[in-house]
Amino acid sequence: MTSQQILFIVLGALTLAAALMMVTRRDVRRAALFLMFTFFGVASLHVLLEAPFLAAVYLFIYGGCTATFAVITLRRNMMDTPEGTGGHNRQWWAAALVTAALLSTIGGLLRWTTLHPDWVVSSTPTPEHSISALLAILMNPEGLALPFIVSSVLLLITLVSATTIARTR
Amino acid sequence: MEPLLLPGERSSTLQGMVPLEWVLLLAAALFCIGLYGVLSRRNGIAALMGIELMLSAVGINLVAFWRYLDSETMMGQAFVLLVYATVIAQTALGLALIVAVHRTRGTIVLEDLDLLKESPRFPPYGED
Repeated sequence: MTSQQILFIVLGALTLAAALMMVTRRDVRRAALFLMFTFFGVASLHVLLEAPFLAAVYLFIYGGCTATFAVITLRRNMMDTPEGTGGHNRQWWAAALVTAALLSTIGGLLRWTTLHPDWVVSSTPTPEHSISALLAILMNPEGLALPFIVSSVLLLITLVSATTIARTR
Repeated sequence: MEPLLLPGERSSTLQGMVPLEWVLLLAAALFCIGLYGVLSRRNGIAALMGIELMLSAVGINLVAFWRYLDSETMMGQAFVLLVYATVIAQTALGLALIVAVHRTRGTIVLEDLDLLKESPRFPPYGED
């Protein structure tokens, strides 16, 4: 087992442990902090997969999400009711069954079937100047320029809608 | 470290690299944990956190397929960037809905948000 594989196993185990802690915490604030740990773990996996710029963008976006989650859940009247908002509902066992079945199905498919024959692993290295190469695709009219513009319009519409929904009358 | 396989040779493991199946399994496990969070949590914000986990797993999958199958160009990473933009839009709107629901209903416990639930006062459509 190579050092990269050992590093992947360690980082993956830490990420999954943080995710498990997140879904099992009764206190939503602690869950938000464990979610932040999970995001750091996933960002480290991005770096291991040779996408460091995406790791930074991921941390900006998702880490920013977690900060927003934490700030909102820290509002006491939203976080807790007399009955308590933390914890799990009555169907938690069914959810565990469903997710265990899904994970075992996917794991079985990955373990006992061969991957698609057209999935040939590329042995060429990643581009040297990644950010300029990325922008060359995002700004190219024959590349992803139109989806880029559409996603920016989507963000504008979403943020205007969010502020309209959430504003006090 | 130099790969031992020639370009185009069929395998899912290069010399020293993590096999693609491991990364896909990790992403699937993260997705399933997020799914459990969405299905079993009472708090609406905790359910949103579960959705965030699921979308993170999708991101890992996309980056892994980019790295293992198409790492010559940056098209995969550009696609992942657009996916992340959609994710942040969904998160913002979800949080705004949670804030609005809390203001009008006074609770964000998902079991108590049952306005669409069938009740004896409001029979299903078609019945008198």
